[in-house]
Parts: sequence; structure tokens; C-alpha cells
Amino acid sequence: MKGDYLGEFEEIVMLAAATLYDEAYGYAIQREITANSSRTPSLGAVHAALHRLESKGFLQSRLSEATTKRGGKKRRFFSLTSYGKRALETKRNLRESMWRKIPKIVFEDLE
Amino acid sequence: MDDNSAPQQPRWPLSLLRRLLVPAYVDEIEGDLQEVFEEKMSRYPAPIARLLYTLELLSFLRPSLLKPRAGHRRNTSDKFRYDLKIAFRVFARRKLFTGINITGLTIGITAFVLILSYVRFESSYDLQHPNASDLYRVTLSNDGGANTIAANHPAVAAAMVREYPEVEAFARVVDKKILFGSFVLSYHSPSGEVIRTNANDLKIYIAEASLLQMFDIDLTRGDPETALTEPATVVISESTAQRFFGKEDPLDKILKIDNKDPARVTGVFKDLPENTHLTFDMLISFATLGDWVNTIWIYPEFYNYVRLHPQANPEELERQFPQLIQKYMSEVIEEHQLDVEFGLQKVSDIHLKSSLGKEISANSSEETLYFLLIIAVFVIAIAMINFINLSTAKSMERAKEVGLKKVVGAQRSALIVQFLLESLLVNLLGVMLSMALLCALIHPFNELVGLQVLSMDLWSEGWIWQVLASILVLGGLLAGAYPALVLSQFRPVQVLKGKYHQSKWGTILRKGLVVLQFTISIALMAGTFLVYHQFSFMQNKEVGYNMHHNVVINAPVVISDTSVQAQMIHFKSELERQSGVNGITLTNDIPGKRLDFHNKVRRAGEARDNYPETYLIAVDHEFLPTYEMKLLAGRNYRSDEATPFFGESEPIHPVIINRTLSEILGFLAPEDAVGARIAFTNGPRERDSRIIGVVEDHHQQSLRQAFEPTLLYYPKHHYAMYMTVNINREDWGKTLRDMEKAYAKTFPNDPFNFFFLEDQVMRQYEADVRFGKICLLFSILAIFIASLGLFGLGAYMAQQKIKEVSIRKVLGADLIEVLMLIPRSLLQLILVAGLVSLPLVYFAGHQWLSNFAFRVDITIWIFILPVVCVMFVALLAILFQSIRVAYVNPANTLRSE
Repeated sequence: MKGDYLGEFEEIVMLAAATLYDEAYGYAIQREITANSSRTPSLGAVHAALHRLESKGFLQSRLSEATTKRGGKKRRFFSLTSYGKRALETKRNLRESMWRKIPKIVFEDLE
Repeated sequence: MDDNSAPQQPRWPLSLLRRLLVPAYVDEIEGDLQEVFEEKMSRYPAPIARLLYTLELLSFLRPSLLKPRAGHRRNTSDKFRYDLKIAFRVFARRKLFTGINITGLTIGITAFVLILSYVRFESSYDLQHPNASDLYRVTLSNDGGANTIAANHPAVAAAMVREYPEVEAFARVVDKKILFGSFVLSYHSPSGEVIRTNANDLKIYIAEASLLQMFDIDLTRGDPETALTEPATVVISESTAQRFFGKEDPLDKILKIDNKDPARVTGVFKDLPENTHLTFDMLISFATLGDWVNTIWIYPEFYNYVRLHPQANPEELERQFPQLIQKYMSEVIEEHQLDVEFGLQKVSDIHLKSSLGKEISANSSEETLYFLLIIAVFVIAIAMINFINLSTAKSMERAKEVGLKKVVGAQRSALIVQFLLESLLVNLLGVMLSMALLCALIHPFNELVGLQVLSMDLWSEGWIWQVLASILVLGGLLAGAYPALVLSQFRPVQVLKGKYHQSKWGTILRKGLVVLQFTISIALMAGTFLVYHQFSFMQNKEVGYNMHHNVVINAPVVISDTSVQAQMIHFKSELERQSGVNGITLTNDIPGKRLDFHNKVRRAGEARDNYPETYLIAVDHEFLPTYEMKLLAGRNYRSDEATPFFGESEPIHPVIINRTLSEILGFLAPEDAVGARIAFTNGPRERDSRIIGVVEDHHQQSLRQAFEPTLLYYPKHHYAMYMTVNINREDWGKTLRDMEKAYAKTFPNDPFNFFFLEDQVMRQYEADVRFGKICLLFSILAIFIASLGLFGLGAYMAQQKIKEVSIRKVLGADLIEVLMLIPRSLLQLILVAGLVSLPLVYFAGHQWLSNFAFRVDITIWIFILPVVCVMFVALLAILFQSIRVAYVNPANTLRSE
């Protein structure tokens, strides 16, 4: 499991974290994913993925100050490490280079 | 929680999370959940929101977010893994011992399961019916319970339903042979084709429609409500339907009895399972018989089944039977001087517990099953003993391991767990291998026992897994317990110093177990010898008539056709002209089976209350010569001595009786009987008769039965079911072909149907032969496993003595002397085992032999032979090891010390 492999769900979680930039904590990320795709991951799954990604070194986290909201509980904000950014980029490059290689004719009949 | 007016989250899920999750994560997760809750509350009514919230919360229960398990548990799993590793290393190091253990266990478990499945099958008879526990058969005794028969009068069950509210339903069944004799069944297809079969090839009963419901017989075609209710209707099995109609729809097709009487097929049932006492291919409706049967109280040929109310007490009911008998049968009792008793017999008990007169099919005995179960337990016990013996014997090798482990802090309990684990593992391997073996043995085993006992469905049945699991656990723990206790008790200080002795007690125990193994092996072997001895005695003893040269032809009897008699005589004279035929007789029964007819007989002038029973055979004047039976006194019939049995004036019938009947009738010598007047009941009345001859007893049935009183009479209008032809053994094939040709010419509409009398006689021993084979197989297995263990022990003992042998060799001992060193103690053990098994075998054998009217004696050879055999096998196993040790160069073993 461990290592530098980035699973599909993990990638989406990271993309969501990147989108939210400074406001990326568990519940916000879940909402972000729900907003962008048709699926609603469970909050537990999101949290598990976040902690897994952190232990792999793709994400880092910091705790916010306690506020009166949320029953006085702190938030853990996640942000991408440079290693994480590179992993996302690699993945994107791989995709794009492969997309480019697909002959046009393959998708022509869709139009 | 700062705002009291805000709706509260459900409490318990949160506290659950706090308890289970990684503490570092709890805070942030709770915060997130608070937001979730607020959001849900804003969108849904409170109960739904709470539910959604709780579901979301439960999604946190995943391994990566949970607290790791407590520290000491993880240690256990490490130890477990380590123990496994050690176990496999030990197995690999001691390939021979592990191999012996696993092989023994595999065979033992396989044998155990095979026997168990056979026993289960045998005890499953007639349990498949929906009300199996409420079904009873009404039995009959005419002599106050001394002889009980399975059949009863046709009016009985109907009267019971009338008289007793707790009798809910009844069904009567009668063998078609009793009422119709033999007949030919044929089907004339629309295309003009005729399919014929002799009805003796099929099991046909006349039965009431209620039987279908009572015995849960599934009609695949036809209406169970109306099938079999009208006269001249039949239901047939699927395979019978196939036989006559092929792929055509059998419903409402007409089968012809003797080419004329039509019988309409009103239903088709699935072929019956093997585990029922009443199997049939065809049922003829009871209504066919007409009403007369309902009032008949003196025709004990009908099987009366009743279904009781589930709460009814059968004993209570039985106590009321005398009143019923008094009410309906007083006249009959008065006339025939009977002491009538009825009994209730559970249908599901019939196969194992019933061996009455007129049983429908040959039943098994519980005793046989117990015997087999004992063998099963023995076989598996021997395998377990192997394991115990080999493990404790080899315990020295583990002593250092145990010592060292204890030094570094292992507790005894941990060591016990380790050794139990090893034992479980060996058992597990044994169980898995025997599962594979069982799959392979399904077909051969069915073949051996002649029943469809096993199939792949075995694995979908619960019991097999229970049995295997209990063998695994019980075997693993019981057999593993002693070695584990022994191995774990070594004291580290002594062991590591190199001082260890095996306890005296351990050696005695091991010897005791070996003696036990051999006692079992010898007893099984002796038992098998005895069984074989008895069976070969039964099959080879002179039966008292010639069975080797006789071919029996099923007579083509068409009841109402009077021309048959003439045709038979014509056919007979045709055959008599053939050179290969020595003699022909027409009879209504033959030896090699239970006689169908029996009735009362008494000496003329003797009181009627002294009324013995005798079997009856209708014969002709050629019966005695054809069967080569020996006349003790008097003479055979002359050809003109046939007497009419119908009509007003009857002559005095000349009869021939056998020795047993002459003794029963009170004649001191056979000669005294000749000329004496007797009366025997046949049909509705007594027949006055005179004895003209007395023949030597013959074994009508198997040698289990004592000689039976038999009376031969010679009726004029002969209703012959069998034609027995005594043929020359030379060129019998041609004789048979000629007979068939002559038969086809005389009876163009009847199939030629014959069998060799010898086959018929031997068929009685089929079950015995099978039982013998099973005994033989499993006792060989037992001895094999025991020898395997011995082989292992021998190897161990040889190893132990290797230094002694070497020193002796150095000092000049010769090879033989050294060779004898190891086996001597072993031979003593075998002798002890022989002595222990002697009384066991004697009493068990005596008990078993008492089932047979004619039996062998238990001779001393029964004991000597197995002991010698076991010694031989044991010596072979040991000698192999001894020789290896004896040839070792002393220099190699003595160098290191």
C-alpha cells in the first residue's frame, strides 16, 4: 500500500485539497468532491485518504486555532507538499502525453 | 455545546468514536462531524438528519483510523507465527515421522468418515416421510407372540381407523405375486410396436392411494388426489415409464396385463430412493381388488400401515388391540384355535430393527452397524495412538529447544500452546488430505457396499463438517495433550546440562498404547477371519439339493387362461426331448428364497389347539429327482398321483414331508411317519392327507435360518410359477439356446425369463459378502496404520540402541544377535496383545455367531493366525530398521562421545 503510488480516489482528494488551497479540511474537501463529481465519498473515507496521503508525504497539515464554531474543535488544514505536487503533475503529464498519442479517428465517430 | 438551544447530536456514536479512533484524530473529526450535523439539520427533518449523521459517523470505523490493538495481543500473533514456523521446520526435519503421522491420520479419518456415512445411510431408512415418526406398521402374531409377521389381514387397518380416533389414516399394500402370481405386462404402441416384460422383473404392489400421501411419494405426472383411486389404474416409476413409453407421455396410456386386462397409468412418480424398506416400480390401485378385502380377517398377506395422531401413544393403543381382535376375529379365533396379537411397529425402525416373517425386503441389523462403528473408532484411535507414541518417543529431540526457551523466559503454558498447535496442524493436514481422498473414493466405496451411499453432495451436508471439525479439535487436543504436557515439563537446568531420562511412566504408557493398538488389530483381524470362515462355510455347505445344474424358468402364467396348463406340458415335453436336459419339474416355489406359502398342519385325530405351522410347496412327481433330494423313508410320487384340490369330493392327498416336519409332528423316526394320516390347511379348508415319504431337510434359505418344516403336495391343476430344468453342464449354452427357441415357439407372447438356481441361492449371501469385504478392508487399514506406527517406533528404538549395537559389535557380537536386540521386546508386546484380545474376540464372536442357525466353531486358529500375521508384519517393519542399525560401522557412531 505504502509507496509513491497515487490511487484514483487519492488523486481526487489531492486535487480537491489543491482547489481549496488554504481552506482544505476534511468536511470541506468532501463537499468539494461532491460538488465536482456525481459521487459523495463518506467523510470517513476522505479522512482516511487524507491521513494516508500525509503519511505517504504527499500532504502536510496544520491545526487551526480553536474557534467557537464546531463545538470548539480545531480544524486540520491540509496542503500539498512539493512532492505531492510533483506526483500530481507526473500523473497529469502521463495522461496528457497519452491522450495526445490517441489518433483523432478514435473519437471522431463520437461527434 | 456552547449554545444550549441548538439541537443536540446523538451521543452514543460520538462516544464510540472517542473510544475507538486514533486519539490524535479525534478532535478534528468531531469538529467536521459537528459541521456535518448542522448542515444535515438545516436540510432535513431532525430524525432523518440524525440518521444521516450517524451513518456518516460510522464510516469512520475503518482500520486506518482506528486505534491499533493493545500491545500484548500483537505479541501473540508474533508468537503464533513463530510457532508455525518452528512447526513446519520440525515437520521438514522429521519427514519420516511426520509422514507416518499424517498418513495414519489421513487413512484413519477417511475410514472413519466412510464408515460413518455408511452407518448414517443405513439409519436414514424411511425417515424422509413427512410424518415419519407417526407411521406404524401393524404386525400380526397367531401364536401369542412367539412368531410375528410383518403382514396382517386386509381388514385390520380400516377397522382401526373406525375404532380409534388417534389413528388418522391407513394404507394397505400387498405384493402382486400373492394375488396375481406372475403376469406379463405389455404396451401396444400406436405404431404397432409391442413392448413386453415379465412382471417378475418389476417390483409391483397393489396399494391404496393413501400410500402416496403417507409415504410422500412425489408424482411428477398425474394428480395425487385422483391417481390410483379407480379400479384398474396404476402409477409407475419414471424408469418404468421410460421402459415402456420412452419419451412419450405416460399419462393415461394403457398397459396390458397378460395381453388383455387393461391398466391405465394415472401417475408417474420419481424413482424411489434406496433408503426405504418399501420400494416399488409400480403400484396397482387397491380398488382393482373390489370390496371383498375390507371384511377379510383371515388372509395375512397385507401390509397395514397406519398414521397416528402426533400426540397419540402407540403403547396405549396397543393395549386396546385385544378388544378389537375380540370384536372382529372371535369366530376366526374359535375356528382355528389362534392366539392372535397385533403390534405396532414404527416404519422408520423397520430397516434396522425388524426381522419378522414376510418382511418386504431384507433388512439390515443394528448390530452390524454398531460393529462397524466400533471398527471406525478403532481405526481412528490407532492413528491417534501413533501420533502420541511417536511424539513422546521423539520428545528427547525437543528437550534442548524447550530448555532454552524456558531459560529465556517462556512459560510452560506458552510451550503447551506451541505443541498443541503442532498437533492441530498435523491433524489439519490429515483432515485436508482425507477430504481429497474421500472425493476420490466416492465411487469405489459405493461400488463396494452396493449402495449409493456417497456423492459429491456430501460436502454440502452439515454433519460432515461437524465430524471433521470435531476430529480436528478433539483429535488435535486429545492426542496433542499428552505430548504437550511431557514436552513442556523438562527442567531447563537438567536438560541443558545434557541429563535427561525419559520417565518410566512414559515408557510404560507408550508400551501400553502399543499393546492397545495391537489388541485392536488382532481383534479386528480375528473377527474378520471368523466372519470369513462363517461365510465360506455358509456358501460351501451342502444345501441338501442340487443347485448347480438347475436352471429355473419363470413360468408364463396367464391366470384365467386354461390352455396354459396344456401349453406348459407341451413345452415340457419339447424340452424333455433335448439331449442336454436331465429332468424338469413344475413347482409353485423354489429353494434359495423364503417360501411364499405356509399354513397349519396337524396329525389326524389330534386336538386342534396343537397346531404347528409348515411351509408348503406344490410340486410334481419329478421334483425330487430334478432337485436330487434324498428320501429318508417311503417313496416319491407316481406320475398319476396328482390330486384335485377343487370340487366337492376330495381324495386323500398323498404328501411328502421333510424330516423337521416329521419331528414336529411327533414321529420318532422318518419310517414311522410313512403311512400316517395328517391334515394341512390349504386355501379355505383342511385337506386330509397321507404321508407317503419323508425327505431329508434342505436349506431352503441361507444358513442363518434353521431347517424349516416343509410339506410337498401334488395338485392336479397345477399353478406353477417356476419350471426347474436340470441340465448337463457340458454344452449348457446350446441347451439354453434350444430351450429359448422352444419357449418362443410355445409362448410367442411371453419373454423367456430364466436364471441359474445357484445365482439365486448365492444372492442370499450378497449382504454377508459385502459385510465381509467391509470388515476385511477396514481391518487391513487398521493393521496398516498400526504397522506404520510401529515402523516409526522401530526407527526410534533403533536410533536409541545404535550405540549399544555398536559396542556389542566391537566386542564381537554377530549380526543375528544384534538384529534380535530390538524386536524382542516388541514380540512380547504382541503376545500380550494377543492374550488380551482373546476373550474379547471369543465373546464378541460367540455373540455374532448366535445369529446363525448353522455356524462354525471358534477354534484356536482364529487367535493364532492373527497373532502370527501381526507379528510378521511388525517384524517386517522393525527388521528394516534393525538391519540399518546392525550394518552401521561402529566407528562412525562411537567416534563422537
